[in-house]
Amino acid sequence: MMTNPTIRTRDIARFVVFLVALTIQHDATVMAKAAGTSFPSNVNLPPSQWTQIVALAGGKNEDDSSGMIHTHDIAVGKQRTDFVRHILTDRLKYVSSGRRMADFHTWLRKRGGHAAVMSMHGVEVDYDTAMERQELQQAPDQENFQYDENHKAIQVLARNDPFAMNRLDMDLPVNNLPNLYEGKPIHLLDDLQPSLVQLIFRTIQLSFKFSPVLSTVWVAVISSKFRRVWYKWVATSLGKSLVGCGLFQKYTVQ
Amino acid sequence: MVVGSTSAAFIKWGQWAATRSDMFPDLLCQELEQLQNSAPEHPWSFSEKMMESSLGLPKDSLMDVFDNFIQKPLASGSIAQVYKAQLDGKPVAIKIRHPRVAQLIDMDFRIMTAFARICDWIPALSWLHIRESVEQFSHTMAAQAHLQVEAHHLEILNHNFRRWSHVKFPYPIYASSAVIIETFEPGAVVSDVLDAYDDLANGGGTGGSVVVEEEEESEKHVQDEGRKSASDLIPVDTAKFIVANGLGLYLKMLLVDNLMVRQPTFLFCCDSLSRLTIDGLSTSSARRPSSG
Repeated sequence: MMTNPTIRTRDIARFVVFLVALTIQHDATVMAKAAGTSFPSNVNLPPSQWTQIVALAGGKNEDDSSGMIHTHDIAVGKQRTDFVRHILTDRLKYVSSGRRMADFHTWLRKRGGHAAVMSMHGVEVDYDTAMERQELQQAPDQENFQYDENHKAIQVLARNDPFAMNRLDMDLPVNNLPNLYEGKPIHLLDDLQPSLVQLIFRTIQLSFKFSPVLSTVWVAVISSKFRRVWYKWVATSLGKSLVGCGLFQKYTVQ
Repeated sequence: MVVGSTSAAFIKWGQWAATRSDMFPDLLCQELEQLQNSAPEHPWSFSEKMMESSLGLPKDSLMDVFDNFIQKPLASGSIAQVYKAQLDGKPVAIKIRHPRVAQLIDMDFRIMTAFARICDWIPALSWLHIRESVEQFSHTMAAQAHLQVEAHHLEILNHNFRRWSHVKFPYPIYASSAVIIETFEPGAVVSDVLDAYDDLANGGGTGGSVVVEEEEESEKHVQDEGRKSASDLIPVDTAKFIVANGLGLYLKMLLVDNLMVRQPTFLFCCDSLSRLTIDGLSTSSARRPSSG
């Protein structure tokens, strides 16, 4: 029986669009659920990870301006820039003079003299503390309420500061100047936990990358000659294991 | 030759596995050594966006904060890349995480752990020790993707070596999950110096560069064409200093502090022979050697 190739292509395209839509919807639902009551219903949800990927890869993201502030006041922008420059310059002097090291030593002594070496393994994040701390840092500017709520929710979801109580803070201090970055806080989005759909996509991608290795592992087990070739394939598969999202270029190859 | 882009988790695992000939066959370790030279790079536009997002700056205002900002990265690793800038007349190093790297690491380790468990159930694959190596490796790797943790570790390293007057680590002045701004410590990588010594021993003479590009004066000092002896390559005082202190540094980090710089990227200052600095590009908690 013959099949119409045009219809088949269209069906495949529809299926792909359906999958993408499903992913975006799933991400938005997960984020909304995770935000819980602290995420007001009138706030626009941040774009999903996939939308971010498309945007970063050069695609147009129509939601870029939603829920964001637009700074037209150059003076406000300059104020913020001056503030950041002032803080960083002060910190540099603070560090260069050796005062920071002395303060760090004092801080450690208060904690019993032991500095915790941190890892992400087995860490339970205290979201309430993180939220409270973030609230302290937010500017009380009503104009930026929507942005701040959005930012705050992402920050909590992103586990941005899981060790807040275990280290001296090195973020920018509390101030009355609003955050003027006109976009989603991309430095936080990357820390969001992956959704189940993303994990499935990633597994499929990796299984393609590692298929030569996985499908021939039994040959490597029984043949020592083939094992030499197989080891090369393992190294090559590891080297090619990135998602093809177009963000990386090769830096050095030897 | 490994061609193409890299995933931090798998690359890091491969790099680590390459050093563990006690766990993996020698031939596999030799193949995996190629991964040591693999490092991705992201474009400047992303770095600029990341800095602005992290510092809460309006668009195109980054250059108003810094005196100047060299847009070409000094170096790139599998987690982040490093730029040099000038703040208040002083050089600073800025480390910016690659896009999606934290999430990819998170996803890859979840998948690797699940895969390793399956492998563990198959008797024919148990000789690979996959589960053991993934578990040993995953938690330090995940922490490395969060740069504020690395900044904290840099402060601990500075504190641990506070009585070593000749030893210094870069000191962070600002840290977020994706950006670290720290003091810039010029110098040359000791492993490059060792490679150059190897070339010299093999009769090459003009092997790997031992000089950081920005240090023009030092470049003149070290990069002479008539490099015929070890003392031309590196001043004797500095060589003696590295020999006398290098092993002590490693042993202190490994056995006393339980925190060490993972990659062998010790730096020595070309302009100040009495000071040894250590690059903090990749710090991690050291694992005490098992008794076995």
